Amino acid sequence: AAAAAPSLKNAALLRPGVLQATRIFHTGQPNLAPVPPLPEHGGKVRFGLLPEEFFQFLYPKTGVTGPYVLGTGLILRLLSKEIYAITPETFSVISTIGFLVYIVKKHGASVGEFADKLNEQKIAQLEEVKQASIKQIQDAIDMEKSQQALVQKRHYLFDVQRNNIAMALEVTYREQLHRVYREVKNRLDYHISVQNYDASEGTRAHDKLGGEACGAEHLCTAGEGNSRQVHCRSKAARKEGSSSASYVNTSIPIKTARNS
Amino acid sequence: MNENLFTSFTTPVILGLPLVTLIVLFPSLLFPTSNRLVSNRFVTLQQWMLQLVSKQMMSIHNSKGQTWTLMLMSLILFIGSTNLLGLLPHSFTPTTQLSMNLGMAIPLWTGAVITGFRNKTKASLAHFLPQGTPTPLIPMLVIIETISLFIQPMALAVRLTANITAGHLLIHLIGGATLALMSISTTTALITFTILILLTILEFAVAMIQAYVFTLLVSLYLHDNT
Repeated sequence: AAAAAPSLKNAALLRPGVLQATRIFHTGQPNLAPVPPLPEHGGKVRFGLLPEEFFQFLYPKTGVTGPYVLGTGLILRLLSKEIYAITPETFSVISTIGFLVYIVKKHGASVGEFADKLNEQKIAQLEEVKQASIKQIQDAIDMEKSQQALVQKRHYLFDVQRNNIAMALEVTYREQLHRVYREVKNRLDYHISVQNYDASEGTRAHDKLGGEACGAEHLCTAGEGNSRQVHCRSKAARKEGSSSASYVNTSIPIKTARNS
Repeated sequence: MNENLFTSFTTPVILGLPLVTLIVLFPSLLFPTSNRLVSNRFVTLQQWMLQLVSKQMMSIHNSKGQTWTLMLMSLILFIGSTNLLGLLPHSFTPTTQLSMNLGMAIPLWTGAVITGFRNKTKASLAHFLPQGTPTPLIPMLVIIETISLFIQPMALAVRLTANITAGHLLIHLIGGATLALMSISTTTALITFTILILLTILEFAVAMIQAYVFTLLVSLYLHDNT
């Protein structure tokens, strides 16, 4: 694409308007994209001016004192040949440069620390925002997890409720069953007591009345062997023997079920 | 190097080419821009200082006056840096030239006054008469106020020029006195040298103060007129 598209290099044959119309935009890496990091410390210097590499360069040949001798020689040559002349301005040089060096030596480190602190504050502010955001989200996650855990435990509640309702239903059922049993038992007890009464005194009254009391057939039960009772019983059996028999029959299973 | 006192104030020319253009443009190299969040110490300190100064100076203006922030901040940076650079030995200070200071003062003052007359005509005209003057004095006072208004740009320019030039001149003279006294009596020379040191300290202060004063007065004129 770079070879095909016209660029500034081979624009000589094109007319200016064409060049403007076919200019290439944004072909390279934008320089706002990841910027390379700054070096942490600057190059080492001596006397604030001369780089350390110069001293290292001269060291093999002249040793430690080499650059200093060179410097002294140069300065003395400048002064003696009046390449640099002593003028009133020399004193202003001495006072100004002396003042500046004094200020830098005295306050340089503290100013540097202040600048570092400014940068640190900037970063700390942004870091705090980031941490607060992370913490907020983490708290939300934890709360969500705890809520989910609570929801997991909810089935216990439902089980308890279900059990309660089942128990209540069971109780109601048994209660009704018991009521039925009681009612039936009452009726049967009544019948039994009536029959007992009949068995003990009812026959005499029956005899007294002369057999017409046989109309009250429901009062007769299967008691002692007696022709009149058998007669009554056979009549009763014909009419409602099945039902009384069924009474007797049903009482037994209820009894056994409750007493077991 | 310098034959007489005036050579340090002539505009530097090399082979007929005006070097003064480069000298005037040079301080802009000392204020690097940085797009980083965390820059080197130099840029950080400059940003901090600029923030401090702009907050202190532009907080008194309303939103219309605060549109001048860029102008005033560049002004104070320029005057401050050129003054301070001029204190270095053998350097040329552009602000010693009256032509340049007039070129800075007159347009700024005129801009402020014309803004005032265009947008708040009544209030601008009212500045000509202070409150509570007795009636017979009014004509006289209007004339005086007019003169004081028109003298403002002149005062701005001349104040800056005179201060900086006088400072440079004094340094030069006392340096010369020290030099002359060195061969006569070293003790007196040392005393004179001490005076020179104190003067240098003063000049550093004056350099910055003058920048501040210039910008402050322009901002004051702006405040009156917005």
